Amino acid sequence: MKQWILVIGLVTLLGLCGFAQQEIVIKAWTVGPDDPSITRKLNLEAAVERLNKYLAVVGADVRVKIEATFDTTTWADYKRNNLLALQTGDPEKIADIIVTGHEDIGPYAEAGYIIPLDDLIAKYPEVYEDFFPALWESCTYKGQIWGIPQDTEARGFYFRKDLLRVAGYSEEFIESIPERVIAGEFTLDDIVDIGQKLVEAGVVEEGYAVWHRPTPGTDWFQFVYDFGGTLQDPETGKLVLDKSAVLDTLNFIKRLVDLGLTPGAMSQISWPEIHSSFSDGQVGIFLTGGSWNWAEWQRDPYNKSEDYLWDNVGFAPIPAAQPGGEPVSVSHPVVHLITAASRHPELAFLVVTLASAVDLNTDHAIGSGHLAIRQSQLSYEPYAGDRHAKRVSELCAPFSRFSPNHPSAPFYWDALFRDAIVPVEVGALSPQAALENLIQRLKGELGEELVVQE
Amino acid sequence: MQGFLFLSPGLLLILAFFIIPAVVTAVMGFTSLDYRFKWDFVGLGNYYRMVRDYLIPRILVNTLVYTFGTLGIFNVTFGLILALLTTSVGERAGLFFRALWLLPRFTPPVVYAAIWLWILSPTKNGLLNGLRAAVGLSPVAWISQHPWGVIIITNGIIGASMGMLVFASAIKAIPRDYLWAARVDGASWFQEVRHIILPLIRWPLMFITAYQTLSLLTSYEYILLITQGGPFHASEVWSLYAYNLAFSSYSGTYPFGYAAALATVLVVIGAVASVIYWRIFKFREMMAPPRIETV
Amino acid sequence: MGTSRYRPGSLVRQQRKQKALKAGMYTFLVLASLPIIVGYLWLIVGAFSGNFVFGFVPQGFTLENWSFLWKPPSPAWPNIWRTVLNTFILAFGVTAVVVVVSTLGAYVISRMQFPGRSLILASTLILHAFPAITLLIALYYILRILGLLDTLIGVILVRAGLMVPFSIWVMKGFFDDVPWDIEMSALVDGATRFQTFWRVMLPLVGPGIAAIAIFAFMSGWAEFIFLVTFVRSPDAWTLTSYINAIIGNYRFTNYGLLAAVSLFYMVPVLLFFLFTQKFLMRVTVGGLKGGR
Repeated sequence: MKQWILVIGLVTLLGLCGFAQQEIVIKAWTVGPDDPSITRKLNLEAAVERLNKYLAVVGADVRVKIEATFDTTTWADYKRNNLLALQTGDPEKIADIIVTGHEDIGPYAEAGYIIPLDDLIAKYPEVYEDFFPALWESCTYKGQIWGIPQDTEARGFYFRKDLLRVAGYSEEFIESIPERVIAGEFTLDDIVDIGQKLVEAGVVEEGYAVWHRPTPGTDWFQFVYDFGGTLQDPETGKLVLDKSAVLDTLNFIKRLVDLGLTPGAMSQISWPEIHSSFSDGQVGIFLTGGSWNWAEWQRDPYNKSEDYLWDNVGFAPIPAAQPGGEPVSVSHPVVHLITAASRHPELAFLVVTLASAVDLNTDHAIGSGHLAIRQSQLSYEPYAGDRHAKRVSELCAPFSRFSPNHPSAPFYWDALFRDAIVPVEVGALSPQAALENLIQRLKGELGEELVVQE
Repeated sequence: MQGFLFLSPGLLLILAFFIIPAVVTAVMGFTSLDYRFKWDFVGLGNYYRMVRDYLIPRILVNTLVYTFGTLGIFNVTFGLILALLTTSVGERAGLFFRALWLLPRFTPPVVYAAIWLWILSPTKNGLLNGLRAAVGLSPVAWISQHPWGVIIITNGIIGASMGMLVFASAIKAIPRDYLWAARVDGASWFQEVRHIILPLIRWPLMFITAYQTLSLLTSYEYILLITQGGPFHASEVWSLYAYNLAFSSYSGTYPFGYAAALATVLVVIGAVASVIYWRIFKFREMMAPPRIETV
Repeated sequence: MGTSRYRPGSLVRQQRKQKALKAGMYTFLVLASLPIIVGYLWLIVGAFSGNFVFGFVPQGFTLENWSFLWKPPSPAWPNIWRTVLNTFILAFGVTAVVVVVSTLGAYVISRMQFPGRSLILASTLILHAFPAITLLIALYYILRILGLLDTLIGVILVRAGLMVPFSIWVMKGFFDDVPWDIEMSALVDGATRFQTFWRVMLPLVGPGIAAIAIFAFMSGWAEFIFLVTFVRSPDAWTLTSYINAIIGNYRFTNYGLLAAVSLFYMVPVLLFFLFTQKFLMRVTVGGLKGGR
């Protein structure tokens, strides 16, 4: 009797194995926070779909299921949630794949939340040798690669061609601004000049000539680079505060406010107001723009057609500070990370590899205003045929820089804005005092990890 | 024993979500806990850092101005005025205005903040600057020019309703005869308030002052939503500073240990203050009949 | 009035004075309430119109802002009705926990003498000094140990824990008002302590329960900080998360949508308000939400 039960049990078990497929769940956290970047999530899902297709062809009894979230709140909320989940070390609560800014590599690697990927990357040279070499730099921390670039973008400034025309600039001059910027003929001073002219001609109201983002961001490092500063000591990896470059940056901001080009309360104007004011043509120059703005302005609630934007809005990298200098464009690559808590790191990596396919990544780049990560995308028709992507790549690629990979880099850019730029802008501190302020704040947080350079 | 059974769920909740977290916070204040979540004890390191933190004096001034400004202007004075007026203008109108002033307290904080963000917007799309634009004036950056005013008013409008309710019910509990008698003697409304009502609602007045000082000291939700403490820490109060350090993008390294030390200071201040109040206001007497409805 | 018989001359003057005083009072009340009135009017008007001219003059009428009811404004957001359901679960959860726990506790404190009784009472004031919202990091650890992170139950418990001390205080006041005799006669008739509590006492403290239930419900309905900190998956979003996502980085929003969702969020509050304000007005000291 007992034997019979055993036999029946075995048969049932075998039967079940034959019919039931094994399902492996891969979890992923992705973030916009801009809506168009939902392709960060969709591409991972598409990758899994492809993988399952292959598995079906092979006849394997395994299928992969992906559970991906997409966050549209803020980077701060997203990162805080990630961190709080990561520290549990609990694979149930932690995603296998995290999509985030490259600046998280430093702290996450330090804390042991993610794994180095060098060996896995070596497995798929057919994919990864195609990536732009410069991007790997942003994923490297202490000599190892910890992330796979997901996208990149370029920063620069946007200007209203239509307003410049009304203010009396010739069509020829307006169209030549990007070239002049690249040649080092058009400098930050010219931005001030244009702003003044716009106000004087009554084309824009006072305080509506030059606007910038109301929040901290890697964008602000562009000006430090622009004024000849450095941010990280290449030898020791410590963060650097370059006094003269930061002071120049603050003086430049003060000048914009003093001349009535930028409102002192710029940091309290909301993003939607900034975007609608600029895309509607009430603001002359948007100083800290990014390639992704182009996609944003074409969507709800701004709803500008691409033709309208081409006719009325121009783009160029941040002009040099001095005539003959080089323009600057900071890129902030978004990366895929594989967590240390993942039960299937190799599989998760394979999903990331498949999601990096030329077609999928191009869908993301074009749909969300980001830039290519692979060289073959440049000759892939949908990407090559996209005027905006092509223009931005051409203009910015030669000048692109990154923010330093250091756990405290986000603190640095936050403090640069909140404790130096904002007090100067609202008139609470002189540039000199704000600089001292910033040094104190950075020293308090960074201690030995900060080098103050005269 | 049955009594203990009845009481235990409450005690458990208080233990789990007040006592233990407070102890954990205090302990955390002695560690260098950060994004790595390592409990490395650093002794008084965080407190040493606090003493040297150049932002602390500024935060301290903000906290004092905010707490006593809101308390003095709105929670007590304005609450009292509202209570006096709404109990004097007649039943229906009084009820209406009390309900109106209670509305913000029950409005979800995100909605309340959204309304103020619109009123205070520095561009002409906001209410105040829209009004200025309509008469040809240039926009004012309300939050950066009046950071204290903004946090006091936005919190005070919510804060006033508590005092209003408590004072109003106390005033209504005053036997009518007292007031009739005064009126027969020809007392004006102001005299009536000064000589009859105020002395009789002394207890609720003290209670609100005591209770709300502590509430204000630890509240930051609305400031977080409306000004985020900015610009340049001009509206950042102690509790918000701790929150921002621990949870906002402020610091890429999430110095939980330091933030916990800051929170601990607040807990200690609060505990000491309540003991002082205890003595001054003889709360023990209030405790016997805690129901204010019949005060 | 009785006085008129004795001082006929002053009556007119006094009435006139009285009238002027009343008018002054009304003027003051209306002016002082203006920000509140205007703010909520904006919610209503803004929810049904396009952009504003000069920030306050609405342009036209539209229902477009309400399309979130059938289609999420962002593909990443959950269905609004799911969110509404979660908000109700949270609000009712907090209400249930607070009412049960504090009614039981208050009964004991009101009726029984036991060691630590006055300590418990006294601690309610001290507890108020413990800034529960600055205990967030520690609370995070507690929830993690209990396995309640990223769940509404976790938020319900934390919020309820925050409200319990004061609700106990309020309820104790109501129990204190019930005369001993009523309870004694039930006990003498052979009822157990629990039966007495359940059949005799509870019906008598109905208004108190209503009051703490309202406060608990409202605070659960409006919950912000714990939710934003402890809950990440859209499956557990409430309307607060939804609005927070609209405000977001102040990035991809429009005032019309913001006003519409806000108004939508306010509807139950307003209804509740209209029907329950007679309870609200009877509130005793420590009972208001969160303090301030």
